[in-house]
Amino acid sequence: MVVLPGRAGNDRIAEEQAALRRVATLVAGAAAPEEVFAEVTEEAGRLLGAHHATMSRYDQDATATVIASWSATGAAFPVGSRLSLGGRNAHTLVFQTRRPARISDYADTSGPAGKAAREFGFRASVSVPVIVEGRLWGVMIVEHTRAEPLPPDTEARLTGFTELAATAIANAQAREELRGFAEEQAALRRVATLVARGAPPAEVLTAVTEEAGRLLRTDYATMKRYDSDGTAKVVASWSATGAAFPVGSCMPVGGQNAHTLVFQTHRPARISHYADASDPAAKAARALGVRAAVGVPVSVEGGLWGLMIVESRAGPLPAGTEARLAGFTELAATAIANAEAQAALTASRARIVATADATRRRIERDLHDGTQQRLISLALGLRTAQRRLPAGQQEVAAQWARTAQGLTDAIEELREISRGLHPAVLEKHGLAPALRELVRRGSLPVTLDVQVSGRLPERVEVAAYYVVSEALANAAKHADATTADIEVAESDGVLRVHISDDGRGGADFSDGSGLVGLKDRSEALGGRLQLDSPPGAGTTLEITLPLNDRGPLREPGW
Amino acid sequence: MTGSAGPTGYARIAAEQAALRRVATLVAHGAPPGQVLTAVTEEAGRLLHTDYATMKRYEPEDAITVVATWGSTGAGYPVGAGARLGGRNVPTLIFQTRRPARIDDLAGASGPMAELAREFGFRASAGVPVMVEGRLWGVMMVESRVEPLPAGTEAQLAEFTELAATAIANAEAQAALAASRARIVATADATRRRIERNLHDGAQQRLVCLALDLRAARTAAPPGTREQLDRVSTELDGVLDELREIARGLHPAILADGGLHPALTALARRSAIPVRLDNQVDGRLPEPVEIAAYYSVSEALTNAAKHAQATNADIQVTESDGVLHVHVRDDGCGGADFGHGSGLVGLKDRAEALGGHCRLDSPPDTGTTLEITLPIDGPLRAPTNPLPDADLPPPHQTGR
Repeated sequence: MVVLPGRAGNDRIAEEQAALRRVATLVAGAAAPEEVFAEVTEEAGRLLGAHHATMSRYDQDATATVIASWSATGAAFPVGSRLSLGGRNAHTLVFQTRRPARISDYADTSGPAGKAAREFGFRASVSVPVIVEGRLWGVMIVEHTRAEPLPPDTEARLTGFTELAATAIANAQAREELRGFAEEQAALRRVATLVARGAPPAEVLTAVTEEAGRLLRTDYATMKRYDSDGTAKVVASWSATGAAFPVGSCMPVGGQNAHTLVFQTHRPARISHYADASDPAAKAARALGVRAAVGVPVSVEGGLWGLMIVESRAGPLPAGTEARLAGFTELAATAIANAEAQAALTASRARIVATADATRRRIERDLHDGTQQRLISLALGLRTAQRRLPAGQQEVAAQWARTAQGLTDAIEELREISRGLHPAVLEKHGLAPALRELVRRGSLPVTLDVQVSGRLPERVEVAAYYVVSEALANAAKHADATTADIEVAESDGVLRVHISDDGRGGADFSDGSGLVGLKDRSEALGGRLQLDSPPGAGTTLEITLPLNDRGPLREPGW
Repeated sequence: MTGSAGPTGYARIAAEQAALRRVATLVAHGAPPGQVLTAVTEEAGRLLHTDYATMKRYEPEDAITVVATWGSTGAGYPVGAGARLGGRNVPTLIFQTRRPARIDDLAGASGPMAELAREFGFRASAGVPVMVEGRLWGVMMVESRVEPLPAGTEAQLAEFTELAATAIANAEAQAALAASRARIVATADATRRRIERNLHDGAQQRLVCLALDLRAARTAAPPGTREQLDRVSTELDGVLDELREIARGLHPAILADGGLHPALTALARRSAIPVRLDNQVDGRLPEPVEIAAYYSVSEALTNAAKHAQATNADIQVTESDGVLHVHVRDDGCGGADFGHGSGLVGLKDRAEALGGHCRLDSPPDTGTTLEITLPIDGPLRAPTNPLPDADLPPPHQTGR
């Protein structure tokens, strides 16, 4: 900088310092960038005695956008104007050289920016790059409408202003980054908390899709699952406008689209332009106005489960979209894996009950169809032989009769054991007759009310039978009850069994009590068992059992 | 999130959300409660810039135990330290009210917990309850050596304790499910054993006596009826054999009476193909483990002979580090899997219900290997507290 000695020089320095300080105060106060740009442009224009000042930002597609302008006369370059770069002009020179540029005669300028400047009557200018953290961000220009060159120190003095502008931009970007980071952490936290609480996968996937779509400010976000029939099925869908890909819709794997690329590579994939593809997925995307997409795989326990896609109607998605999506897909995968592990555990428990029941039933059949039948025919044979004994063999006849009676007793004993294994009447005739027989054989007077028509699933009948059997045994044996009430009713796909006695109460699920076994069995079928047994006030046992098979044996629905 | 937050506001929000996200992710991945509680305590301590943060669990009989700590400056309560409730201090206040509590000047506090806090040089403390499924489980506290904790401390802590409570509740639910599964196996086994006993002591004994009676009757029977009696006798012997077979299917008496070794020897002897048995385990094991091992070998040998057309099988049973290993290999046609209808999935369920594993290696044409590992002390014997004491250093009283 050429510093002129003397009073005028000192005034000029003071004036410049004051202008820079005003802008600096604005920057330090974290004013909105637009406000800083307007201020910096005006201060620079005034201080440097220009007729006009412009600040423009370089954009990705070889254009510059005017973001602030000032004119000594009032007619300023409209903010928001977009100028294509090219030709010889201030905007293009700085863009090409990243260095200050000076134009002393606008007669030989060219290109759209040169033409616009000539229309405004500019004759000379000095322009300086705005460099933000080492990258060319934009340009600041001071212009004269007089055909005389600007003073030689203009570049240096203008740089003082562009540096302040760059600081304001960097601060705003940092703040925006921090805000974005805070938003991202909050979104991930919400999803992680949902997963931690064991929310159903369908709910988690919906939340993940919406959170990711909002955070990344895309137009569409979709979660798809690969199915064994070679399709990708939409399991969650969000859009900024409302019209989204419908949940449940399927698209074949194949063609040039995000779900096919991810399927083939098991890696993130990017579509910059859907224009050329002709497969159904690409067509559907185009129908919604989608131009670009990024897909990220959802891998569960090492296998490719599905993918998450974000799509944009504007243009290519920013770099880093894949990495940001991955934070969400990992949580989705955790939710799915957790649900699968939980389903496997509950299915295993249900299977153990089913296997144990099947074994008992098989042994009951073996006893009934084999052993008991054979003993019955033996007893018959012996009695027939006994009748055919010659006269005068009373002693032998009596002995054979005793043996035949012994066989009959053994048969009766085996029947009793069979009933304990698996009551044949339950299998043949269903719950109501089996409960009636149970009540008849018991020692306690019981009111039985069964409101069930027809047969129920076997596992439900068996569980209900055991609950009543155990409850009646407890009432008679341990609770000294004198009477019991049993109500069995079916409604809304649920069987309810309600048993109350007037005994001494105080029953609990402690070890050794048969009640915990009933609770385990009910829960293994997806049902519930409630026990209310205050000391001295009788015992009430209520179990609910789902009739359909949508209990834990099924994989979670979507 | 507020849209008007300034740069420091965003930094604060970002730090808090990131800390909560880390903890939530840990809980989502099902990390053990001990690890979650340690992480929660550290994250909360760091975020709140306090001197000391602790997670304490309420114990029976008005006691409290430190289960996780974090400190930025100097020493504080060690993990495992225990003390009694009582007096005026934050853990006791929370125990009484089940609400957040603070003491801005510990000079005015009383009771063992207050004395302990003063010994470590704390001047102020604040805490919030950790509620698990509606019951008071513990307390999370932060303490300062300098000044009262800032307003809003309790609200910030509550965000973390909710996640801690979720982790504890999840672990409890998981443990309850595993215990329920193990109990179902144990109950089914007990029922089968009881029925086997009834069969053996009742019907079988009665029929044995009748068979003896019939033989005795034969000598007294008039000629011409003896053939009839012989037929009845033979048939009765057949019925008895059948009944013994059924009883064995219910529960092998030899296993209940003599343990794994004689039971496996009997299985090997009865097998349709030659079996080499190498059992390195002496003495008795818990019944569920014996039964699971027995059924595994029984099923594997049945499969080897029936489905795999094997010509021989090897059985190896060993025990190491509290785990029983059962290894059965045959030279059959392989291709076995856990698919529906296979008895193998039942073995897997049973092994997993006992906290063990079942591995099947059965490539086509190269034989089948079944490997079962069973912890000798399974989930039925495991403590129901999801934060087992093994997670913590040995407790010691710090009252000095």
